[in-house]
Amino acid sequence: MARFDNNDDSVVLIIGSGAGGGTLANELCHKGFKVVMLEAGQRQSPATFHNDEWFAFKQLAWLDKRTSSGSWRVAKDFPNLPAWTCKTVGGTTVHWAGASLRFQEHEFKARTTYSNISGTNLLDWPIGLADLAPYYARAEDKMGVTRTNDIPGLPGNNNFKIMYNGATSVGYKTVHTGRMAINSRPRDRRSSCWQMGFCFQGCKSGAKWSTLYTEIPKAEATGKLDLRPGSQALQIQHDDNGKATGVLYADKDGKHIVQKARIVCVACNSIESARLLLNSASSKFPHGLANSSGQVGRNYMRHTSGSVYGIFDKPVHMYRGTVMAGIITDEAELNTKRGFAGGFEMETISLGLPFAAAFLNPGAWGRDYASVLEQYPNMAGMWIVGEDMPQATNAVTLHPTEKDQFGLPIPNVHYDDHPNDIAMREYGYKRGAAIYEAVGAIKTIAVPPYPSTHNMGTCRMSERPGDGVCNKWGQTHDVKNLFISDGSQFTTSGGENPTLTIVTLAIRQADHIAAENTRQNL
Amino acid sequence: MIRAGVANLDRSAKGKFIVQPAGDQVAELKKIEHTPFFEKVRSTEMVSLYGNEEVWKAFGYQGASYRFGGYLHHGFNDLNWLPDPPEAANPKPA
Repeated sequence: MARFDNNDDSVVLIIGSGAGGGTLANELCHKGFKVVMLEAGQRQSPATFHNDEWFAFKQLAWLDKRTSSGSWRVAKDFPNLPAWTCKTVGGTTVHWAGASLRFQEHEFKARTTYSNISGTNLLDWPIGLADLAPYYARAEDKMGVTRTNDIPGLPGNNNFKIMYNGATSVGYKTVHTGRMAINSRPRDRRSSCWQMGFCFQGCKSGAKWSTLYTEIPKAEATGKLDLRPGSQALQIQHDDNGKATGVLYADKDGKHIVQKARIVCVACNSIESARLLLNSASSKFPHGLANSSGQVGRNYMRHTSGSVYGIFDKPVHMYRGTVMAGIITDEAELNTKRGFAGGFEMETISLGLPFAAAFLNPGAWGRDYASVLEQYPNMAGMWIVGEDMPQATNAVTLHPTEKDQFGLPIPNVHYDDHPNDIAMREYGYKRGAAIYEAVGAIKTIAVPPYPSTHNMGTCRMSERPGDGVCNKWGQTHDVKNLFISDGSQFTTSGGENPTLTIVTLAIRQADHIAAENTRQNL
Repeated sequence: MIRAGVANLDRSAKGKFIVQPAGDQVAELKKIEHTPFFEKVRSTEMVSLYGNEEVWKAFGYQGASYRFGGYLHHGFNDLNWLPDPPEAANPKPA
């Protein structure tokens, strides 16, 4: 493994090793760049993962204190856990379920398509589907997405059988086992899926794509990657000309170190990316680095989510097999007749008994709740994931008083549901219930959103520098050698799970960095 | 906090809380369900009860499947009270 000098200012420094950072590192290493990658968490492997929900949560989740506010129910149920993301090498690709869907053309033009919905800060992306299509193709090949590149779909589990029969009974047309970055056949030196369940707890077979055991070791094999686990970035530094010069970080022993760099790429997931820029304020950038627009931290999106569980009088055992075992895409299409803008996917989801108890009705107790949990083996579940509206006041900000273990302000995550989000969620709950009732559910449960795993928009792309933080390449408008390389660059959330698009943007960004480097523009 | 919380429950129940009829116990607990004491006990119990492997057996939850190679050959698609979806939607296992 490479080890570059802290004063080597020729390196590209990437902060974060998840879908964005891990992919970008591999792409850049293969183009000959020297890359230093800081990762706050530790390195695990399929051998160290556990099929145990609480154990894995403590092993993998980002548990540093955060606060939350706003009208969303997460602020009440999980005030110090607004997001369920990871602090480990591979980032949240260790935890994700694998659903890999392209955004739709109209979703890149949200402001134009939905017009100016009151209370939103909608904006068109500076790019469209045509710009991303070739990169989506590369991402799907890299990740081994089923139903692309002649890769067969995964076999459906019991949870999917219920979804399929219910969905087709109520008239849905496009229902299948999804486009998943989970091997249905051995590929890329990884095994096919064992239908273990526990996709969220780290895939012990390695069938699910994660940067931890794909991009990162491939980058290391080039001899160009210096990965530093246990390294918490504290501040991005710059020179008098306003160019980034390196990053101050705390290493695994808590020692403060400055790593010089000629290019800095931020890929810490939307909450930490925004926090890092805000915590990097200086006399030259008093409101935070790359924040002349005032948009850093704003337009935080987390998808209109929610779940529906159906209880049947016969066994289901939803926990057996892949967690996102199937999808209904009909409601994701552009359809203005439902009383809300944007669309949503319905994807199977399952929780083990420990997390079912924690999440089906957070805070509930007593005989009624216990009797619901007693029906656990007869439950089927689905997740609603839909486009939520960017709002200027939905924002990651620095806490005015509380500090983390390094003395830096912790983040507060404020989110108010927009009326459009609420209308979509309520509609989704009804459709989900109808699907289960069509195949004999004796009861359905509408479950409020879990802590956010899809976090987007806090450093959004914009055509005009005044409207956002970065341009169509993820390059910040204010600091030309500073890039945003994760989901925080999303201008709007679309209705699709974000990882495929994050990977796609990272591949494209690597090409741009290489081209600009050749032109000596950085 | 736990000691004080239990003492308060006994005082409020006018005798040992633990020996009261279930209905009375629930009524007493309803009164304190928003206290930090109750929330501490509730959340701890939720994790320990439903995280207990002995309890799982009673719920038909099989938990870790890595040890027997996943559910691929252990019933991941054994539901037989609905028709199997067509192969285009639901490919056969490799």
